[in-house]
Amino acid sequence: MSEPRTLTADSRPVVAAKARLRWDARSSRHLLLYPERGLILNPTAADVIQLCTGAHTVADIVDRLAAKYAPQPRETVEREVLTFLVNMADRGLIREHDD
Amino acid sequence: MTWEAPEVTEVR
Repeated sequence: MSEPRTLTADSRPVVAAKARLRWDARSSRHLLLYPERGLILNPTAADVIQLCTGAHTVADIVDRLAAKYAPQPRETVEREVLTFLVNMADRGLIREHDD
Repeated sequence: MTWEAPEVTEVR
């Protein structure tokens, strides 16, 4: 049975060990690669993934991106970042950092 | 910079 996805503002997301973030200079885009598959990330998705080191909470990540992309409302950034992270957790590419 | 919702596209 799989664990429920319970990412919250206090979660510390980290990229799963099986995944690698790569910058493809030829196409000027970030790729998240994992065995037998790959994902092209848009710029904001790449921003989020780069901050998923286990050192930052979801709230920290949202704060940083809301500042970077001001005047975008923080509430919008928070909602869309959480939706993205849950999607990535469902794919097994993001997990919660173990304390 | 303009915010857009984070999105991914699967590649073969």
